[in-house]
Amino acid sequence: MDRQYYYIAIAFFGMINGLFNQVALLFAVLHMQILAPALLFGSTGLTLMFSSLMVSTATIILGGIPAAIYERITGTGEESSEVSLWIWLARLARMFGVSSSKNAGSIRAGVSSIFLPICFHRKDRLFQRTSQYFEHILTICIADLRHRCGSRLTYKPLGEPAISRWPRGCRNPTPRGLLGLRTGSRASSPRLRHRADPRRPGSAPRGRLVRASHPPS
Amino acid sequence: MSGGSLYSYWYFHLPNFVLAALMYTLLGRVLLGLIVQPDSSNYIWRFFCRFTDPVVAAVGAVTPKDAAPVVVWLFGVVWLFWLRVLLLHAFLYFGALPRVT
Repeated sequence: MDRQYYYIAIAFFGMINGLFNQVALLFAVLHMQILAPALLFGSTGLTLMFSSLMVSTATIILGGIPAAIYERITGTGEESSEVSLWIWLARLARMFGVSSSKNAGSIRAGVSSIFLPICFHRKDRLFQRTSQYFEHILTICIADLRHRCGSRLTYKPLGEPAISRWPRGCRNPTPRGLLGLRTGSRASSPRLRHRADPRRPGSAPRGRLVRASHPPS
Repeated sequence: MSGGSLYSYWYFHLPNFVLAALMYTLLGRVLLGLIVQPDSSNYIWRFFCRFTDPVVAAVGAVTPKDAAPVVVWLFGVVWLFWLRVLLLHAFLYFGALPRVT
């Protein structure tokens, strides 16, 4: 792929991050007013736009750090390799999924989870080397999406059945569990416990969540 | 951060001033770079380059190599701004600065 497309995509994601990350934008505006009040002649509008630019650029910079580390480790000569540009883009896309606002968050997480699988369609050897990295990002994106959609979606790892809920004590197969993160508040609530499916004796792992009438012993 | 507190809180103002000077000089380098050749012997340009080269080298180490020099300079401005924010919050966290009431 032509390098120009990478640059356009990186700039696009940076721009979106700067436009819609309201909390970071507010944080930047406040600090611009404190630390650099004279830079834009005290104009609030210009300060707001400049703060948005700061947030956009900061996300692009943060996204570029793993790519730069990758380049230093592999020693890719004078120019960035295509893999490092992909890493840069994937990191930015992941940041695009990290939301600070409820409304835009789901859209962003959705776009991230659509965009990132495109990375996997590339079958080059170079991309296979970094597939674990992309898979890691994708897993986080899916976990993020699940969290936002109220766990109505199910993550189905290859070769394993789709399991929406697992009883307490069993290994958590969800991406959050795989990453060692906490599960959702509903699943970890002490007032909820699992009951085996009565139609299938001995099918405890396919248990359903029920509200406990008394605290579990 | 009034002027009266300048001497009382010199330990914050001094690094903040150095970072701000670097940030604005880097911004000046970006603007001057639009009209001056990279190998110009203009003394202002040479001063800007000499003063900000350590920052550019540090920022270049954590920036992909495809980024053009002017982009690295602009990244340096942003890095320095967020470093100033970090410095401010570090001092506020340790109670070394008066809180705004």
